[in-house]
Amino acid sequence: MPDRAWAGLTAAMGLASRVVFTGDVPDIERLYAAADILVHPTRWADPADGVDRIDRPWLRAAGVTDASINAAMIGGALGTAKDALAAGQGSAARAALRLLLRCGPLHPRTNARG
Amino acid sequence: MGLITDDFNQNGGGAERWIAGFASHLVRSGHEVHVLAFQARGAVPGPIPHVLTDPGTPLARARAVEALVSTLSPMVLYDGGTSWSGHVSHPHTGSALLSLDREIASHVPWRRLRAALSPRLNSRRHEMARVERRAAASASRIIALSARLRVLLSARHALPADRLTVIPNGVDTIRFSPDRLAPSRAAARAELGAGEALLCLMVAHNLRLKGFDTALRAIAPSRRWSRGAPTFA
Repeated sequence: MPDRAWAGLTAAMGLASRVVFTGDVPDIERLYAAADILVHPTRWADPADGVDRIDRPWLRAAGVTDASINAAMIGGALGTAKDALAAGQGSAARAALRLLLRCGPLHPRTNARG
Repeated sequence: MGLITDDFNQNGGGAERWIAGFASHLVRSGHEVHVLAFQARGAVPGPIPHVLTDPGTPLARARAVEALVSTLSPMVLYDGGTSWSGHVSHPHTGSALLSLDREIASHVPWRRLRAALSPRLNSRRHEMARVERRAAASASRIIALSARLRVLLSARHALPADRLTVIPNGVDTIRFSPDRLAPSRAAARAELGAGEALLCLMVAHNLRLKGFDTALRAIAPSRRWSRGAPTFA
């Protein structure tokens, strides 16, 4: 689906002013510098090898501490999201994402405490 | 050496950048590098480009590469997931067929039914399966990006263990070092208009497979956010 269709969905959900579609970004590291949270609710990662083999290096690269990643995994938020997505349970995955974004250990204020 | 790819583009997505970087590495190592592609963009110095006209379907693309290879001098061929002509097959999208099926399965029932009945989509799936099967049969070495993909390819194509290797993509920890990036944080946030809001980043080419719709729905009830609604880039 092209960005235009996604932009339409974003607008229909009342989020147009909150979402920036950047397109291809050659110096993408600037976006990592700007971001508080890297969100990766992929439908593709396998819970068995997703977090440690794929997500952890990227979370580290984005500046999230290992302690925060471990806390999130222990808390079940990442695992819940992945399990739910693998099973096609979108509502459970969204709940896990909300948990992470609002009060989870990946929140920047918590992350700052390591 | 010959590198086979759909799009040779150092500013493209992850697969395109990986292959462009690989080409540069091989040139610096003293190899004569040929690139066989249907698009070549950006300026990667050194490789000899062979740009094919894109016939538009997976099977026709694989046949076009095969025909071009037959006109070139013998060389070691690396294929990033385009054809069956590589001595080394390294499908950067994993199994394109499985990704397509996964994406279709994520849709609501009526869209899945429409996909199941679509002659065009079924023809495409058949061609993708045929290219993948022949690539798996002919490559001397197949590189899987994850343990999961190794299991999948091994089971689907009855591949012996000595032809299948797992090499996960690496992360450039210098390029993405938090210490190096910290000074550019304020300017980058200002460009995005993020202000003091929580800024969430999603990096994706296929937004559906990466779950962008899930992320949108997660932030949709923004009235409840105490710190102001998050901004997504």
